Amino acid sequence: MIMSRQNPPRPGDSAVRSALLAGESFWPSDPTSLQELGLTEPFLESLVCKLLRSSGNLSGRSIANELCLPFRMVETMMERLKNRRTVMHCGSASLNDYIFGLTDEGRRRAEQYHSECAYVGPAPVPLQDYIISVEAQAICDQPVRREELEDAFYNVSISVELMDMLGPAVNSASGLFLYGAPGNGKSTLARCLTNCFGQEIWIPHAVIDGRELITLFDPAYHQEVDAPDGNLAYDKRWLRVRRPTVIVGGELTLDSLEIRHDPTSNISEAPLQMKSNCGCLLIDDFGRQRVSPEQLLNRWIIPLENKHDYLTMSTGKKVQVPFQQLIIFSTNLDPADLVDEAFLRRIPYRIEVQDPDAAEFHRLFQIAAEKLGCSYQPETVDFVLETFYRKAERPMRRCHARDLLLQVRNYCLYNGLPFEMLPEHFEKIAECFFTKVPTRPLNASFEIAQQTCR
Amino acid sequence: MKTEVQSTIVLSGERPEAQADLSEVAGYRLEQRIGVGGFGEVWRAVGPGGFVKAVKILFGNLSGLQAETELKALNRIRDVRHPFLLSIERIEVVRGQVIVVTELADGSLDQRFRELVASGRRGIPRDELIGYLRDAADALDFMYEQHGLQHLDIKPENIMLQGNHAKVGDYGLTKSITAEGHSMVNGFTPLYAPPELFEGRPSRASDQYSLAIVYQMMLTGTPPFNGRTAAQLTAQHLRAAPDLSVLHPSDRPAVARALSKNPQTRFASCRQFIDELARRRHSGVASGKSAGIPDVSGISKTTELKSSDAKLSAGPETLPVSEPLAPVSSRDLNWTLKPTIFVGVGGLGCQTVLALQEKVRRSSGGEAVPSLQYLLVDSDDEVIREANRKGTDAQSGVRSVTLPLKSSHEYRKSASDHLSWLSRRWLFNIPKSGHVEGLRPLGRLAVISGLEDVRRQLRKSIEAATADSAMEQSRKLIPQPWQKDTVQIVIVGSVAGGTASGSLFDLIWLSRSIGTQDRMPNLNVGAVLLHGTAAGRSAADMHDANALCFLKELQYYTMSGLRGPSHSGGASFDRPVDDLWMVHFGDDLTTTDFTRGVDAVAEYLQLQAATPAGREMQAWKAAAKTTTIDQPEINVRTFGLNRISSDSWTIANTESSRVASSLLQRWASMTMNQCPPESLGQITRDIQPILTEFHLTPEGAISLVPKLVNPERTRRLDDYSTSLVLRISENRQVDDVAARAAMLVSQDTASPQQYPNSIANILEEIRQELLKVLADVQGRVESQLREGIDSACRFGATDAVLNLLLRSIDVSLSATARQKADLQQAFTELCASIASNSDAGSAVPRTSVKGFCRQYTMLLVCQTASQCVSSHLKALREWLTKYRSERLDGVRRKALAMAEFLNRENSTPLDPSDNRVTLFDEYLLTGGKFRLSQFIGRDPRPQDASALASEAASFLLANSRDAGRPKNTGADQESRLAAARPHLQHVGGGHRILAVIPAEIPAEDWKKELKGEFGDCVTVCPCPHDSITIICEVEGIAVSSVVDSLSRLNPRVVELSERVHSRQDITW
Repeated sequence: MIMSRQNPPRPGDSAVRSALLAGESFWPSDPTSLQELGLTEPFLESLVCKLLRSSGNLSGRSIANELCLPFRMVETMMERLKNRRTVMHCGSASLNDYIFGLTDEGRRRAEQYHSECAYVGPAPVPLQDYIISVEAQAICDQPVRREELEDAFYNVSISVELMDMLGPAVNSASGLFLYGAPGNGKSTLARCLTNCFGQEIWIPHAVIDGRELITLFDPAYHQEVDAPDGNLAYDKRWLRVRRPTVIVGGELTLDSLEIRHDPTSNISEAPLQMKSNCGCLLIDDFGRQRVSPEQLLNRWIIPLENKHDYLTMSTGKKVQVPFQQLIIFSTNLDPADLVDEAFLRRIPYRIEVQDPDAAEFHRLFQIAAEKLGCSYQPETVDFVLETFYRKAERPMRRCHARDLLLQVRNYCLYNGLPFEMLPEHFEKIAECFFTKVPTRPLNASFEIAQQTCR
Repeated sequence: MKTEVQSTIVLSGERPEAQADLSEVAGYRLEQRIGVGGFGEVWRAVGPGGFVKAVKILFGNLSGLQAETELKALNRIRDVRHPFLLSIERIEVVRGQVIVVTELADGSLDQRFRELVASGRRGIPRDELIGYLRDAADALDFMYEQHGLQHLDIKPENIMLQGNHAKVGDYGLTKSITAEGHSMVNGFTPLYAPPELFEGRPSRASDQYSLAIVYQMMLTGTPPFNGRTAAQLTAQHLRAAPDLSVLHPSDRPAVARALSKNPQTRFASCRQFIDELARRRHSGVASGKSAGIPDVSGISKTTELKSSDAKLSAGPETLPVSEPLAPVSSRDLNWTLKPTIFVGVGGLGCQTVLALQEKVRRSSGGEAVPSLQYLLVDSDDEVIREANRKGTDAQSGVRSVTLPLKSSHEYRKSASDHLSWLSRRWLFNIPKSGHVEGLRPLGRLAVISGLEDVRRQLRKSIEAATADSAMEQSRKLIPQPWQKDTVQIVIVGSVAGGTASGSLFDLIWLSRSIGTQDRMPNLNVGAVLLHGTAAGRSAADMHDANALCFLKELQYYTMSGLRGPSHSGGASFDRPVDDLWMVHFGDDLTTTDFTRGVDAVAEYLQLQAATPAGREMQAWKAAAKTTTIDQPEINVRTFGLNRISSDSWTIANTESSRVASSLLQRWASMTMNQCPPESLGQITRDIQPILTEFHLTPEGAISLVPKLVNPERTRRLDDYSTSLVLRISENRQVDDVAARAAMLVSQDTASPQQYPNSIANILEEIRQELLKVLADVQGRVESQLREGIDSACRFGATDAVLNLLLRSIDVSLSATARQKADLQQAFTELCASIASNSDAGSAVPRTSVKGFCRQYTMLLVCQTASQCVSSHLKALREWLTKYRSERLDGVRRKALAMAEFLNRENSTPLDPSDNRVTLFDEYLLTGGKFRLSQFIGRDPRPQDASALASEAASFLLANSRDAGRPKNTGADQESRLAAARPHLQHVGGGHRILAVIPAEIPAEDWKKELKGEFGDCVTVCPCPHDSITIICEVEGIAVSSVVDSLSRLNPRVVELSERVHSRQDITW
């Protein structure tokens, strides 16, 4: 294979090769033909018409930019549309380019296209390409080692035992239960876990299967970053984002785990687990959802087992979508009470996040003090521990150090005092911080959840 | 700081340098002034305790606030401590003058540079320089990262050397780049200053820019900006692109990036810049082929010329050269030809196997030898399709398996099978072209998925090769002993590509497993590893990386006791492969080069598998086995091969005389009519200057007379005419002035000494001048003719030159004749007019006599001068005609005589229009030594004719061997032998030479020559073969030394090679 005389390698492919050799796990190759684009000509034409309809007249290059397509492909397409009198030249733009606008005929068509599907924006990629990209960038490709985990948790106080439990769980790349009393940093842990997979991933703006368009990119979960090497060509329909961490709390319903179709615009939105592919899906406050824990867990049985999920399109077609992510159930309820053994078997790792001990509490105070900008006074912490915890037999929580200090700061600011860790400040705020709100026993909330479901 | 200002020791002087007697500053005894700069001066000083320090005294009288600001700046860096920063020991203000005491370094980078330049180098050797700059970069990054400071005056003088390390010194400008609005009034060094500094906005990467200029300057002595004044340099730094042409190409990108006008686009840190430079060690390939390759003298030359690269490119020199090994006798060897299956893997492997098949078929009279079977395996069907198009099929012994890559999506269904050994990265990024594109893991993927097909086809091939009828037929076609108790499988593939390199071992195991399953105890598996890099750096790197990676895997796979992969039945073999060759085709290859390499390998395999030469090779192998039986590591062999077609050899020796003779005849018969019009046009253009310069055109010839009678001569004629007037007027009685004048003139002719300005004298001068011109013109014309005779048109060109000249001379002659007639008439009229004057009776007035005499003498001289020009032209004409008939026609005759001499044995001369004659003619014009013009002056000797014949012989030889090869290389005997040396050299081992020479060619001469070239290791094997083939085989090369050699030649690829391993489930 050393000589490819007749077919010199295409430049796009050499970019893919260099990227892969430089350690990338996936690289969207710059398309050179419609076939590589995976889209049909009429679809692209409808996209152009809709774009011109919504944005007014645009130059060929702006169209290419908006649709994230190579200019040379847009150029030929515009020529064709012009010959068909769908668009017309409205002026010339720099670099041998024109400004295009819709003709009356074009406007009519655009309206029609719009009523069929209202999507205007970057061209989608075929679902198959998306699936391959997820497979390529799956988190289980490279096992996480202790050092990487330590790096990911560098700014979090975490015990070595807990870390040693988390490591193997992460490498299993399946489900993980984090449970423990509230305020002990379960959500923070989950967020840090995504970091340890390091590296950014490529996701498309939208995917298309047949005529059904599913938007995937969601700025709420996907943080865009620059491509690693500006010189390497890539398909602009793909975005490079940090590995997503999708956190959902009590608002989660089963609907948000299915493709959500908007019948008026004919655009579908990807479900949460598709958005969190190649990353981490954290179901926070598990058990507090309106849907019962069993129902919610049953939803995950097949994906966790098979590493792919089945989604139903608006047309009724079922598609198989990879399920390559770390799913974390975080709860302050006892998992044994929430679900039965059959399910626990499928989530092999159950990790309890315990309350901190006195030494850690000190450390947490130290970290919080550093962050908030006041000097750390160990005596005061001892005082706080003695007065508000031991005497009141109150359990310590990881969040308390930070929250207490924040309140002290606010108190100081309000009263025009210097921000210092003084026992009297703590005494002042403790009253309202440790208000006697009647707290329920651990499994009480579970009962409430069950009641609501009924 | 305040305390220090207060503790200042008050000095008596205003400016220290003005105080000759001042020998102590702040307790330091100043010993010697080391330097003076824009800021102040530096002294070598002995401080308290006898420690030698450097004391810097800044110029300018500072007072109060100003001193404090300055001190603040200095104080900023006093806190910065780093091993590669020149440590500051004291900062004081001594009566308004800032004194800085620092440690004293051994010298500066600038001094080192000057030393080396004085010793004749271009600059500081690259490795050494990078070492220093790495230290400096460390310090600068530290300054920025820890303290937010930029040095802003990085230049060679400020990089101090101590021991083997560099220290950054002289913090004159150091600024915190976070501080706003600092004025850049302090002088910096414009040659090294970054563009943003001119705008007063230093950035985090300012020092990096200066460091890059220091690098180029110290390495090459040439700065990237050549401005001479500060203004020019400022403009260049701000706008012009740097000139990096003096740098090695691989350095340029890094330096260019560090020299970006926009600081944001530079490297993130100085350290990163230096690392990038260090990584781009020049490969031997890039810095000229001589570095890695055959010519040892070439290496030493490179070393001398590029002293800065010496350490890098000299790598291969230290590696061992192969030793000559004693020839091995093959007399007692029990040797037979064996049924062999050649498996070509990948594009290059398939090409080789196809070339081999074609060779075998041709040598056995166009019939396929059924015991030699061929199997093509490739992921890309290009070569296979081409082969099928040419009509190779199972009937001719060629089977093929195309194993194209599927799309990622198709593999996804069975992903888990592949993901056990293949990284997701490869499985899910399969190129849309469906080709392997040189990626080894993908190569393996393609082959592994179709391994069962390969197994089936390989079995079929083995069956076909070992069938009794096949053996029978083969014995008929190649009448040598054949035995089928041993079966050979030879796998040929390029380790630089993707398919073969990734899957070769799987195919080896596959062959082995077939051997076990089918109970073939004597299955011999060999592999020929081809390597060669194509042009273009990234492609070449990829090829080298693939080869390197393959070799590393080879080292792993050949560890004894290793079990094969599951598809081979998991069996364990002591040696998975019996014979291993590695052939390096070279670097920077074109398609033609690859084809030549493929041809050589095919030739080798043919000799080994289908000719008696195989006996010698087997004997070598047997000898190698007995000597290296307990070597832990597997050895490879390599070979080089040069082939001289025996036909062409014979032809060269028999036909050369005929070709030479025909060529001579052809030359002799050439006339002007055979010249192409463009040559004639060229000749006309060449002749034109001669014609104008020597006045050989009609206008020229006419203008020659006034030129000859130049103003100086006119003045002398005037003098003479005055004397004539006097002498005529002496005799009052004279009435016929004209007759009198004529008499006087002829009187003076007889006694030339009396009147030096006499007409006769002047005319004599003119005659002499013309003679000189004649000699000049003859010289010029002759050289033109010599040139013409050696040009493509030969005698046609000389004819053309002569014809042009003669025609022009003829026209000029008639013009001169007309001129002469005109002058004659004027003269007659003049005489008549003076006669009519005297006829009037009265004496001719003195004034008229004076006028007459002036005109008379002038006309007389012009008339005679014109006569002279005319005879000058006639003489030239005569010379030319004679030259043609005597000299040129003589050469023509001599050429014919030589032709006859050469053709004395062959009665039938070649057709002069024979293509070879034409080509040889062209060859002589461009690169030959034979010149026809040498016979203009002398007679030919027999050796002259022989010289032409031998030139024709080498031409024919070179030309017949390879049509694509440049005609003027490889013609002489020495390089013809040396061309047999393998490309893979300096990897140790021992070599032997096998010369396969057809029986009809005397072998002894060859043996002697080969011994002279290669040492006493030559075996000559007479063999019915169509060519003389010289094989230089090197055996006993440790794989590790090939790995070493590759990674030393191209260190860039070591890292790359780690990424292209064919399997991820093995820790290589």
